[in-house]
Amino acid sequence: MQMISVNGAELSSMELGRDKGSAVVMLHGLVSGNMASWYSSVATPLSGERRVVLYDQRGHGGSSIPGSGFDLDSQAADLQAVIAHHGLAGQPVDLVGHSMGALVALRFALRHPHQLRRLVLVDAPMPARDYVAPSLLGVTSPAALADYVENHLGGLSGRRRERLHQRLSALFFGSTLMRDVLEMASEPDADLAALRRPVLLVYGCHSPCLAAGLHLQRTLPQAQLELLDCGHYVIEESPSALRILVDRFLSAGGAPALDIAA
Amino acid sequence: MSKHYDDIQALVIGKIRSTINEDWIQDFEIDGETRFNTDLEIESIEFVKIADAIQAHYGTQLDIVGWLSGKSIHELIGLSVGELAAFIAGAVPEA
Repeated sequence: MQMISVNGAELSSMELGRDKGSAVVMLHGLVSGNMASWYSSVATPLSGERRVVLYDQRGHGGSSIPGSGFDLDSQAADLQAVIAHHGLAGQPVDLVGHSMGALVALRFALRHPHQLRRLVLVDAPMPARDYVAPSLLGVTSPAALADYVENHLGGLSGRRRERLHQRLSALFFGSTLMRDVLEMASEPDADLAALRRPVLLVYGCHSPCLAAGLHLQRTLPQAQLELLDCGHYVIEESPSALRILVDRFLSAGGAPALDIAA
Repeated sequence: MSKHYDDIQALVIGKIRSTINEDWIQDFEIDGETRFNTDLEIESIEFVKIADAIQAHYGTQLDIVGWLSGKSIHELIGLSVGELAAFIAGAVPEA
């Protein structure tokens, strides 16, 4: 476990399968996500053949909870710092992201295509202001936060519930998270159309975000869409099927030829 | 139980205390029957930190793909300390 200093935050990170094969960085979703989201069900199996980097995004897991910087550009800059910290700057890496982590990975890919080999977007909720913000908007008071924890993150009790409550209180009432999510629009079609890299889109066929997957499939020039029999929380709901899809995509034909000039 | 297993269980308990690093865990009685979920109420990210500390201790002696892979984090948190120690004991060669 390592801590990485980025703009205004400390990020917790770890590496699995070090020195083996090509590198993949995995990004988790908002609020309930952290390195544990990917860790045992997908990241450790993948690490048998490749180097896997995990990190807790700002405000999550073992990372600090800064007051700002939850917008996609800031989080893409965090990702760049993580990549550099692990000695991967300047070499193309694979990125795998779920939900908000997928949006961060996509923003990074559009800004730094030379740093990207392949991209896996799992139930990317684009635009987040439509798909993510509505579930957060009602959380305007401590009582509403208690309801949110109960309705969206049910099943927790005792110590874990208390700790999550404290974290969410800091994120919702002490940071720009909600404002930043409200401003997250779709990536422009022209930018998406210019991303000449292989992209795997994995969506739950019962996910409210499915329309975003169909749009990305139509717009990204090298995208394939796979649907799994689950909702938005694909890692938890369909871990085996997701692992097989990601492993196959990242293994297909070794490293594909890069058309850096495109 | 063998010394191999006992040593590993003691290591696991030590890594739980050092990773959680809060006052209550230092005095909490932990044995093979203690469950991560219901007894310790640890968070998923804390389990990952404990597993990472154990992995770092054994280095290449312990094949992480072999002892954790494919299990969901919820399955792992559902284990007892003894069950986790048994996984590790099966994956680490006896000294």
